[in-house]
Amino acid sequence: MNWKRYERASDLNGALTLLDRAEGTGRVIAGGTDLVLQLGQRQKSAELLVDVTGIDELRGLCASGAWIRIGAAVTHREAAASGLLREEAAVLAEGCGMVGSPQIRNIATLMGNVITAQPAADAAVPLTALGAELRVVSAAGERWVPLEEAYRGVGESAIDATREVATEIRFRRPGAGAKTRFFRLARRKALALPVLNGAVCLWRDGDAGRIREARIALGPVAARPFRARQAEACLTSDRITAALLEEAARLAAGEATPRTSLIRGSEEYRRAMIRLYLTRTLWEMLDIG
Amino acid sequence: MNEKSCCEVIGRSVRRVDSQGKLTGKARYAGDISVPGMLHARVFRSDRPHARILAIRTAKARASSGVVAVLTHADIPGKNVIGQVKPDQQVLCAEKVRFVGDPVALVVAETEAAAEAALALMEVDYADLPGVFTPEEALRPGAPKIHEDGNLLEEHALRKGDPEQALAGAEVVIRTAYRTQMVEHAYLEPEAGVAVFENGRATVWMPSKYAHADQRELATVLGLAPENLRVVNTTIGGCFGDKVSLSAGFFAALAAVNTGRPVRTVYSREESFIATRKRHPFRIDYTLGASREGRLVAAKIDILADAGAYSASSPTVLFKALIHAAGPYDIPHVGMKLTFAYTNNPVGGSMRGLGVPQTAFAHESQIDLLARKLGMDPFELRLKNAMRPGSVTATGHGLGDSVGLVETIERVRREVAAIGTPPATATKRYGWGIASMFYGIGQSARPNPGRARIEVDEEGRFTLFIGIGDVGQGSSTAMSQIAAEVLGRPVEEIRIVAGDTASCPDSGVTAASRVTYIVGNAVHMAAEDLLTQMRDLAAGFLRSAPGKVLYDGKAFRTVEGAGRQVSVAEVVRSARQKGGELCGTGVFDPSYTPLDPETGQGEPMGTYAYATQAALVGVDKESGEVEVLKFVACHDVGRAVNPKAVEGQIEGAVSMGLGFSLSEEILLQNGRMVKPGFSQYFLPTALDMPEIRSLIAEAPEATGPFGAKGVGEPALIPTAPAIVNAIHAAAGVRITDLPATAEKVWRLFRP
Amino acid sequence: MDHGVKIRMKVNGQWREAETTPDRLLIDLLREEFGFTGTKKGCGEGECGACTVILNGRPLLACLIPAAKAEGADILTVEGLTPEQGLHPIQQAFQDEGAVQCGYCTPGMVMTAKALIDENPSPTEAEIKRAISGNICRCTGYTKIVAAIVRGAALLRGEAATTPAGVDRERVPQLPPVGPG
Repeated sequence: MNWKRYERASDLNGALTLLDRAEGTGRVIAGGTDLVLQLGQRQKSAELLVDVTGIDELRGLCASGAWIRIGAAVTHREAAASGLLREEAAVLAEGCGMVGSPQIRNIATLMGNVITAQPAADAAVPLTALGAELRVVSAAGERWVPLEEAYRGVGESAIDATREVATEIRFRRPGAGAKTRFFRLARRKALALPVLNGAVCLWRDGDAGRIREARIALGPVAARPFRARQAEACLTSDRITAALLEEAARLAAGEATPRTSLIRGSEEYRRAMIRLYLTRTLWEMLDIG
Repeated sequence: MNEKSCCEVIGRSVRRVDSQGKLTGKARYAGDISVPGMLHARVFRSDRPHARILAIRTAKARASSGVVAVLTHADIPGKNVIGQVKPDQQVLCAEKVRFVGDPVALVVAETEAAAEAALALMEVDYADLPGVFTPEEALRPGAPKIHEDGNLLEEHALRKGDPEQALAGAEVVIRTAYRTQMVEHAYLEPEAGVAVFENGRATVWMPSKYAHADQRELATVLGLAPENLRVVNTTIGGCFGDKVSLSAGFFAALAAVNTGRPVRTVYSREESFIATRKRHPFRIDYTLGASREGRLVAAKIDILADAGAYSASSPTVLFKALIHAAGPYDIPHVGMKLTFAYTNNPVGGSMRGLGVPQTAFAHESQIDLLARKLGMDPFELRLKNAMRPGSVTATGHGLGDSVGLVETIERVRREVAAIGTPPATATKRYGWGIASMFYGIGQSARPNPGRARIEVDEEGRFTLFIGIGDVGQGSSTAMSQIAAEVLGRPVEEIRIVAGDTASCPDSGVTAASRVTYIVGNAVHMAAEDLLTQMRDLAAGFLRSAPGKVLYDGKAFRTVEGAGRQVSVAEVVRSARQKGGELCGTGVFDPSYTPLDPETGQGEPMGTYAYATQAALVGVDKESGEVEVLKFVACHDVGRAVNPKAVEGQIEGAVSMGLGFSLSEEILLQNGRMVKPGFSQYFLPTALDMPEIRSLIAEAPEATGPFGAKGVGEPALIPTAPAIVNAIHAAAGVRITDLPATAEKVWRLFRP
Repeated sequence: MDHGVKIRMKVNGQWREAETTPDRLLIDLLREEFGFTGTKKGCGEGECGACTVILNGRPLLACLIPAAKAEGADILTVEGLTPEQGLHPIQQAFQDEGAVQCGYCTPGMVMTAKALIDENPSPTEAEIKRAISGNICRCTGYTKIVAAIVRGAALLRGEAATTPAGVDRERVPQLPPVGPG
């Protein structure tokens, strides 16, 4: 016997009340594609599941002022197909289009991709590069959690889904000068977690010879989606040259901490691929080579 | 109206007889069957690779809600031993477990969930024994013994000519060590079975490609006379050589006999990975000698295989490997040694190709390396040495006329030339690789008769009874086509019953690509037999001689044709009035001579199929990633009974071979599988598949039905070496252990 | 046993209700309670696509969906796709192209194809491959499946609506004599 009750909340207050009354034995479910398996394998437990995908206010994906807001019920399919994202944050649309399979993308949510706390998550990695944050609501009130602080460990979220509802992801619109790109290496072309994925966001300076800001997120090369900050700093430190990009990629490969895995490969190979894929991505984004 | 001429049905891509049921969801797989009052049984399996069982404590599981029984070895009514070649495996382990997944107990409950929950309450005390996880370790003196009589399961040699001397004198010698990995069949339907036990008789519905063998083996386990056990084959959701012997149906039957209630057992995917048999990993040390002109003079081949915990089909795999390891070439001097060792790994079983995909990887890599060393075109080198009618195989088998290898090489060469090779880019290199093969149809050097029976009823309707189940490859369609051809009827008017021990003759197993050739012959003979019987009776009716009676599919008339005719239905009715039944039977067993135990010489197979395949790959010079872009396959099948089905076999085999060469591998750590299941076992998806061009060559086999041989396994055999040779052509590196992961290729680029 | 929740959904055009345990998955409800065994369980972990059904217009995996989540949903399984007589054009195309071998992936593959063509009546081969990339087939190498979906889409557009010449008619296989039909 697994969960004993399944409730579909129609508004946020209703969901919070259900969780509150369950006193820690309830748990939020959205698409459920990971959670159902984890519950079945007893990796997680819940007496009550509170389905939040029917809550209207969690459904939108839109631009609002300087922000792009993505409700907790938005699926990977919706994000991958979103004209707004393709236009302004292609890296996220591209990442969302690589999650699992079409059937998974049809129901699994971006928020779930974050809360499930896997370092390889194809939506969470671009969201990390985009500097996203999560709105988390509980009986105690609401808070905003930067995405990078939403992880406790592999498979362990800092959001307590037994008491809190993460309602929305937001990030600043990258703006017209930004370029974003996603890359991925996997054992086959669909239905596979990546050996390596990465998201790069670059803002060029008015003086076209320099990068004003760079954000690079990589997975699964650490316990959470990993910001390659040394590489980012390197990219803004000097004028754009092939040598600068290669140096940034070399730094990223050094600061990430992939481990040798029978399935994903040796640490050495994975570092080499970070360097290779990042170099190639940066070259393409900056039209070098 | 005249006698019909060949062939109305043979050689045509008629629709499959079973596709409607499969497309509408009406086809019943064992897991779809539900019987009122049915219980659910789940197997409790060892989590130790090698351990003595001290105690099996079932009380907590028994007390769990919904549990009806917990069975152990003590509850087996008959003999607690199985093994179709060598009986060395227990149904439920009594004293010892030998691999992670060995069955120890059976939990029977009202619901699947209750059975599942009770599994967690099972307690077994083990005393761990040192495990043995490679065949090398297993054969070391003093290694822990997995079975009483030691870890050497089987050993055989082959000797033709004087390979040592020939190699010593050879102008060019290539010696390479190869390794292949453990592979899972990964049929989409997990094992399932449903059993009912009433009045001392049991019926089991299960996907069985050989119902009669399952009946014989299971009857001894259940302590029943075989006639009191009926095995009914259900729609088989793929098998690729597995789903044989100890399967879910065995456990369902054991539970039904013990509880007196109907029982269903369905494996989870994880269980299917852990518990079922696998493709044997091979280590192959291959030495090939040739003249400077590219004439092969000698081969010396050493094979060591990991057979896992039990014998299963290891002997079958060993002999197939021995017969084929020198490849489809005329080589005067050949020496081989094959050694199969027990380990505490998952059990090595039969899987599509029976050891030959492994040996073909080695010999086709060797041929490619030789071509490079000699600076010869690899097509040319193969043509120079290819088997032709009259060539002699490594076992000393002089070949007959049906040897289409040269045609397959030439046609693939033309196709490859027409497609061409894309130019290299900054990061990608492209290249074609080719590989050829031969494959003996049927079981090696032992009797493997196929039987068939055809009945006709008073309405003139024909029913074909065969013992073999259609594993998805389309055998029921092909067999119906053969009967339809002889009987002059459309395929859909031949009713077929396949794999029910209550009504079907023992046709042998659906394996070794034997069905079309062997059972097809039996069907052909049964149909001819029935037609002869009907014609004789009709002749009496028509007051004519049988030789002067014509048949048009519905009725008989005399050659003179004075309007007199008698229908099939009338012939049947009249026979029955006289107390006779019309029933055609056929049995075919290909001729063979046994292999000499010392030299491995003999004529083990009735006939051989031949093929050449070519792969175009793109290799990323920096990441080692390999993408297969195009594929060409030409197969000599003797005669394509159903060309679309032959193409389907080729296309499916290419996907399986693509997985074998690039991505599929069962990873073990001290006998424990790493992440058993589909999520980390990389079967090719639609996006990973290249465009495939299938070409059919037909060198008719005189002893085959309408000239047919077979294609099921041959289609897989050259795929992996074609891809590996293409990687070499593209990127200049040689993969010698499978799978060719991106990291392995990348390492070869490093200085 | 602990039953107690009633779950209601529209399956293949009819409202159906089952009393079941709250933790039942949609695949088990469809197969065991409603008898729609055409929906296959290949892995139970969302990795093969054999259990694909169309739920509110989208192809989804019945093995990962709590039945209660599908409360009130409109679900189409392969049984609902099949017309009373003959075959749906997509099924027909699978049959004509020889896209069926062992058949275990077939219902899920057909449902995925149906959802694709509903949304995109003229899919390219690349779009088809991407759409079925979550449906594993171990038998066919996908070649004939892709061809069948191209053909099925054409049939549904009213093009090439004839079956190829020389292909014989079909019949339903025999069922074993025990067990409910």
